[in-house]
Amino acid sequence: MVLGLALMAQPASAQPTVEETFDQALEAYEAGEYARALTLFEQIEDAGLESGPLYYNIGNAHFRLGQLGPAVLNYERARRHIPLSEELQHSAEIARRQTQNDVPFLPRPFWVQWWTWLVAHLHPIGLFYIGFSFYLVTAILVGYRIHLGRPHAWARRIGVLTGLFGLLFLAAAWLASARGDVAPSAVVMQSNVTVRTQPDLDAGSSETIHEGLLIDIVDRADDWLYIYLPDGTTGWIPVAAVEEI
Amino acid sequence: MTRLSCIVLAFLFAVSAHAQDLSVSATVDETTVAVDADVRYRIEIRGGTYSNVETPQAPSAEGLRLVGNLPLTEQSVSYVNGELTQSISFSWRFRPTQQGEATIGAASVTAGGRSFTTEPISLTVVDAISNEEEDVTVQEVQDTDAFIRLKPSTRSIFQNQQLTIAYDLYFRVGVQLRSSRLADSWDAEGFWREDLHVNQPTAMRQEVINGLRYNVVTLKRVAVFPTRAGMLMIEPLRIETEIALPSRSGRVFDSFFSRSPARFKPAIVASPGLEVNVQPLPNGAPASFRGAVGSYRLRTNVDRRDVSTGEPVTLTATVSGRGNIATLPEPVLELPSMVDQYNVRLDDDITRAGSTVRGSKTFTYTLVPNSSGSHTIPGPVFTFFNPESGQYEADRGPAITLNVTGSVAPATSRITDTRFPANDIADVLPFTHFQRTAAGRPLHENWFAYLGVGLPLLLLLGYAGYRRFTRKLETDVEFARNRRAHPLAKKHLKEAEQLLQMGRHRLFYEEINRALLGFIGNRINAPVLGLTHVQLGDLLIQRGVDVSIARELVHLRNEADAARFSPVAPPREKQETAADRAAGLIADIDEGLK
Repeated sequence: MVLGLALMAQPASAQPTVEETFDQALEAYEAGEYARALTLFEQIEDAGLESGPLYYNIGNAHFRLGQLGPAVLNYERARRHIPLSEELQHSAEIARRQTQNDVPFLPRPFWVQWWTWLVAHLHPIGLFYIGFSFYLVTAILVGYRIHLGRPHAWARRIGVLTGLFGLLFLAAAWLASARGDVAPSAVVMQSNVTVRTQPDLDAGSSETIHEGLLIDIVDRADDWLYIYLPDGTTGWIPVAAVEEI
Repeated sequence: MTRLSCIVLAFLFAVSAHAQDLSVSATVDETTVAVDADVRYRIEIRGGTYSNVETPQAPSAEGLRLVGNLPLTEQSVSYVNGELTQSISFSWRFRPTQQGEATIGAASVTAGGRSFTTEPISLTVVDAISNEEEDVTVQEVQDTDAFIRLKPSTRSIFQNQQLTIAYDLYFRVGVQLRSSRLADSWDAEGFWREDLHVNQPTAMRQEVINGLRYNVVTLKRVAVFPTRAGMLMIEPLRIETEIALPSRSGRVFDSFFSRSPARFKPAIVASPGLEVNVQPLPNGAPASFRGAVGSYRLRTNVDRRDVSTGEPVTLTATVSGRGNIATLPEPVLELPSMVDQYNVRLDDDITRAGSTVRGSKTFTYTLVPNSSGSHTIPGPVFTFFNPESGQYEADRGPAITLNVTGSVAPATSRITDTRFPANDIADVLPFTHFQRTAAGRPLHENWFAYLGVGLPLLLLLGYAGYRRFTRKLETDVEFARNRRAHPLAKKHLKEAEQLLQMGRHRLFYEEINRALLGFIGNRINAPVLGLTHVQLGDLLIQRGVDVSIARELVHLRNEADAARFSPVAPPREKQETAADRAAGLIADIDEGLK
């Protein structure tokens, strides 16, 4: 009777919090109810919230449901938040192996690898904060110099160094942001997509790619995307064949 | 041996040598001739010396009669490509005796101590041509006036073997052509085509065909490669041109004395088509054969053999030889699983001079070993069918051994922690904090970022300006007094206003005087207290202040002095006017000193 009254005292229309929904989704996932888990995770996403674990878990649910394309897509979305997560790296690799794509990764020069690593780990906003910090130190040292009315040897040396670093990081942040280097990629969502030499269904084909392959978008023309494959091949595919990360 | 005998021997040797190169030909200027016109018969001896040539007798003729027994003799010497060529010709005129077929018989010529016999020439004698008809018929292009002759290197070839075709334009000596161009796109369905170089400008040569002398120009040389077996047809080559034919009136001197220019008319000249029997390649092709036909060699090169895992190695395979270079397939490259292959870059170098297409095609492979160790790559194999030997032949490059060191490169592998299942994804991740989906603009479009960078810069500039100002106030007396002149004057005038309200007229005028002198002293940065009223007025005039203003200053100061020492206070209105006048003077003097 007391328990019943206590339950009735709670408002009947109380919405579960985000944390509760997340926990319910985890429980559904652990129970093997992947479709339900996916629905619950996506409710959180639909509410305009995001996090690395959320995308990662959505990717896992898709993977369990045999949907490789959406799985890879969400792993890549998660990579923007938790690039160093070992779980993410492992699961993304497993998903990649299960795609039918046999496109090898063209080795890139070391500076491209460094740049990719830097942008993936810090993002343009991280680069901006670092650059801005150096910039502020430089500004303070310049202000000190103005206040003193004469140069100060150590302040000048430190100011030059911090100024250079500041400019470097700010320029890198702008460059990464303007070029969309964070992950300008998309994921192939259809099982077979023909890469064509021209944005035309009648144009010749260079090769066929499959669901789950990560590609870089280089250019757009109407309903076509000019893409760059990991092995260096370029070509045109329909917009509908991919979803952008 | 005497000197004379040496000369005689040399002469005999020369005659003998020339005799080896002698050629004799007989031609007529028309093979179709009107019954009332003459035909010119000409025997030409080339390469001989005049002293060794005997004047031949005119040949006998059927249906024609000789006009004059003595031949017209012409000699010519030409020096072409470093070689001296001499020729001598004898010509006679024959006149038809009746319509129908006519023949000029063989003529005997003795030259260089040898006897030659020319071929008989057949002619057709037609009815006399009226002047009206002449205008029409003169422009008709007959097969004998201009034609294109096609010269294939062979008519039976293997699939993908080269066939060279030359198209030569023949036009009679005397026929003029101009504005010649291809009538349509020449087509050869079922063939890969490579145009061979033709010297420009094309050299013109002469040939005699059926007793007629023709100018010959090579129009086109093309190498074709049949892409399938069977009977294939190459379409005729057509040219559009404008042609002017010589007069056929028979009046020999017409062409020399006619004042009218040659009449050109459009005409199409075409070659015959060509049927080619293409044989399929023989059975028994090896597995590595991918369709190349010709004669080739394979050379391979690798840029390095000691490499780290994940680093690229460049392997180049160059196939060179004769055949259809443009369509050469890749050599067969069998790679072990420890080595990945990327896109192949193709470069070709094709030579189209001469009669065969030759050149080389280079295949550049990017290979990346994915594990350490010593990996041996079998040499690339290029297999082709050689039509000359009728055999399939293969050229194999040497095996390549790569010594690979180092661990797996990050670009080609991903971390797989032992804590996770080897072939399954890792478990889900627990709850963490959420953030709102970033719907904002990217950094380079976000004005906060620009504000963040711009604001400290503006603050610095502002602070620098402020510091400069304060430093000038501290160091520049003139600047400082100038800056202080107005505030001080205002302060004194305000105090004067208060004294006026209090009815203390002496102190009021003292304050007015202080405001004026203090302002002027600070403004001109000079001591003014010791100056008389007039001296101060003069000083201001010297500094550019108007004379009337200086006078007004002197009046006001005199009035102030009088009021200060007067026991009776001036009327209230006068005092108020004095304060206003002082304020006005300060403004006027400030203006005058600028």
